[in-house]
Parts: sequence; structure tokens; C-alpha cells
Amino acid sequence: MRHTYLYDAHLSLGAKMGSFGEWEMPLWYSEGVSQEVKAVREDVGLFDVSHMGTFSIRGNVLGALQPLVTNDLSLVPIGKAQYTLLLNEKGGIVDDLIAYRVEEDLWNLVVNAGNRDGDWAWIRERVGKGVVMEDDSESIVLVALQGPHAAATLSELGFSSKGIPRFGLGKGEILGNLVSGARTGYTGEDGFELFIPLQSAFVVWEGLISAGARPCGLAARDVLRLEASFPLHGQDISPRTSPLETGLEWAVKWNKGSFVGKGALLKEREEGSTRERVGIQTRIPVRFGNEVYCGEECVGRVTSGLFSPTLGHPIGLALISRERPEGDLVVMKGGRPRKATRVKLPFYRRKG
Amino acid sequence: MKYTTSHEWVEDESGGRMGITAYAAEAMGDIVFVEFLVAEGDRVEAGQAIAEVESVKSSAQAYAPSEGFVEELNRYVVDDPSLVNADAEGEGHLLILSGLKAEGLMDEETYQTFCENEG
Repeated sequence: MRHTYLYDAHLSLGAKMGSFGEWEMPLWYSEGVSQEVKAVREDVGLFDVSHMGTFSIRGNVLGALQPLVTNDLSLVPIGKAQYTLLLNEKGGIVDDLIAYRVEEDLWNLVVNAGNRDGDWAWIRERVGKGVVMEDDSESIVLVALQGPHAAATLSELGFSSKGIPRFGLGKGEILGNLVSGARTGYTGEDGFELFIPLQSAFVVWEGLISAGARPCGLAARDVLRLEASFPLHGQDISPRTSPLETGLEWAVKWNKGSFVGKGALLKEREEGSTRERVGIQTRIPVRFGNEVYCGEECVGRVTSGLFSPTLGHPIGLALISRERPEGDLVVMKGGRPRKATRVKLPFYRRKG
Repeated sequence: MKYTTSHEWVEDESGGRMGITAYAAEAMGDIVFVEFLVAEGDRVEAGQAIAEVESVKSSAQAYAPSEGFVEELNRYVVDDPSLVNADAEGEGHLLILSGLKAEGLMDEETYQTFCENEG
């Protein structure tokens, strides 16, 4: 198993460790997942997300990357970030990622842990000679500080985030250590993702915890992102699903020129998607892979399902046929039918 | 106390309190639902699913270790599923079974070794 730089810190905090792809990561710490979710919704939580990939790319990045992604990078000013997708020729989602414009011609890409190697090769093969790419994943420790008190926690440690808008970038010092911060996250709360040089990572991690941030594991991260209805690559989205059927058309800019997969998406838009992503609520949690029925007909599968501590009931996403019999959705779990009610997305939206 | 390879415990091979093991409860994390798939007085078959246990992130079923009868369901764990996390092999038991004919279940030491090897 692969370990992040903060592995020993997790062990000393009493983390329950578990596997996430090829990574051994903290699932939760001593208080458990529900308390961690609550901390992020009401106070502030801290996640080690340094298993994710961080690439830097320098040169004519717009020219090189625009044809690979669905969103329009030319709309991103220096110091801002954008959520975007890499597609294959069939319009399937190779990965979702965030592109940060650090300087005019210097961008950072943060990609999913499980797709690090694949994305690196995918992008490298297609960007041509006009850019220089570097894999910073092993030299930068990425942590996420999330929750309504994230900004106050940072300022307590010397990092003022006042001028940083949502999806904006900033630099500052935490306990005297220079870090970059972006006002991004995956939880549906205000918060920051901090890019920390390896040598300062442990001090910053400890400092944030001493300032009141509760360490949170991947289980809480999964709960928080599903409550906010953010997709997880490998479950809700994958190379076999398109952005149009999974609620991500907002990240596709049709007028920006050509990009890999655009032809397939245009065809899908014209003919109509055959499937759609829906939000469901059940009495008992249903899980990834459970089949969804409408009458006698299997119409799709659950792509994410868990108990929401914030809402106090189970929630799930399912990918199902648009053309299906009328009537209620039923999820088969362990050989038993479980009635599912369709609910509007997102399941949770923060106030204000 | 006797243990199964599917991470249940039972007081005795002939019956008594039964539940999921502390090891299983810890691996599941915060338990939020217990649902019984049998009723008091039911006859159960070996390997029959008798309860569904749900944590925030994962699902598990508890199975009858042999044929037998359902004496009593522990309704306290339905009202407060976190009891299973707090005391899986005591107050957080799932039910009481009788007339079991279980054989070859593991003792505590053997089960611990089994868990270490499985992890």
C-alpha cells in the first residue's frame, strides 16, 4: 500500500486506516465519522488529501489544454481556478479535475488519486511540445481545511484569506511557513485547499489541529461530498458515463471550440441522453452497485449511497434509464426490495 | 463466547445472546441502523440472514450459526444502534437464539488470530 507524507501523523492521532485504491488512508479518527461530518458543517475540519495528484504545466497552456478539457480555461483569470473534465472520444469521463491558474502561463492541475498515473499519461500524450509538465504530487502536501470557521482558523495562524474569493488563489504564511491556498473543496462548505511544501507539512498539519481543526478521514469526505451532490469518479462518473447524463453539463462549454469527446457529446445532446442521474432517499441505506427497479424492469444502478448524518436519513445517487415504466423506484439490496423516493439535488446546500 | 468466520459471536454453541463481533463493529464505524429479518418465535436455518446492520458507509448482515429458534430480539439496538459500537459483545447484542446445533465455532483466541490474518 502507498502512504502519504502524513501517514505517521494519522497513526499517532489514532486513525482507523483503510484502503482507498492503492492508498492506505485514514477512514476516520477516534470520534468517528458522524462527529467529523458535524465538525465540517458547523466548525472546521482538516483532511489529508495529498494522495491526489498535483501536476504543474508551464508554457502555452491554453493552447495545449483547451482541446483536452470540456470547460473553457480562457475564462480563468490569473489567481482563479476552474472545475473541468477530461473526456475520451466517446464522451466518457476520463477524470474530473480542478485547474488553477497560478501565473499567466503556469497552471496547476489537481486530479483524483486513482487516476494520477492515467491522467499524467493521457495529458502528456496529447499536449504536444509547447508546454513543460511536472508531477509535483510527491513534493507538495495537499490538505483541505473545510467548514464555516476555516477562514478564522487560517487567520489565527497568520494566513489572511480576506481577499480570496471562492475558487480564488492566495499565498500566505502559516506559523511562518509559506503556503498557497485555494478557496476550493469538496464538502459544500466554505474552505481552503492548502498546497504545502513537504518540509513544512507536518508543522502546518499540527498547527491547524492545535488551532481547533478536527482531523477528518475519507469516510467523512465521502459523506460531505455526497450530501452536497458532488460526483465521485469511479462511482458516479466514469469513462462509461457522459457529463450530460450525470448532471455535469454546466462544466461543458459548447462555444469554446473543439475538444476531445465533443463530437460524441453533440450527438448525445441532439439525440437525447438515454440515462439520467437522480437523487434518491431510502429508509435503509442502499449502496454502490445495488440495482434499481421500476416495476419489473431493472432500470439502472445506485452509484453512491450512505447515511447522511447531517440530514438524518440515507441518501443516494443512481444512474437510470430515461425511458422507464411509470411508478416508484425500488432498490434491490441483499435480495430485498427497498422503496426509493426521488429527491431534488443537492441533498444539502449551505445557508448564506 | 464462540465466534464465526462471518464475524458473529454467540454465547454458546447451543444458544444464548448473539451479535456481530466488536472487531466487525469497529471495522464498520458509526452504526446507524439495525433491522431484524426474523421475528420472535421464528425457526431459522443455518446461514439464514437474521439482521441487517448498517453503518454510515457500509452494510453487513448477521447470519444464524446453525438451525435454531429466535427467542428474543434486542429492541434497544433498533432504538439506539450506537449500542452496537459501544458494546458489541454485551448490551449491543442483536438477539437471543435457542436450540442451536452449532459445531466447530472458534474460541476467542482462535478468532483473534483469524482476524489478524484476515486483516
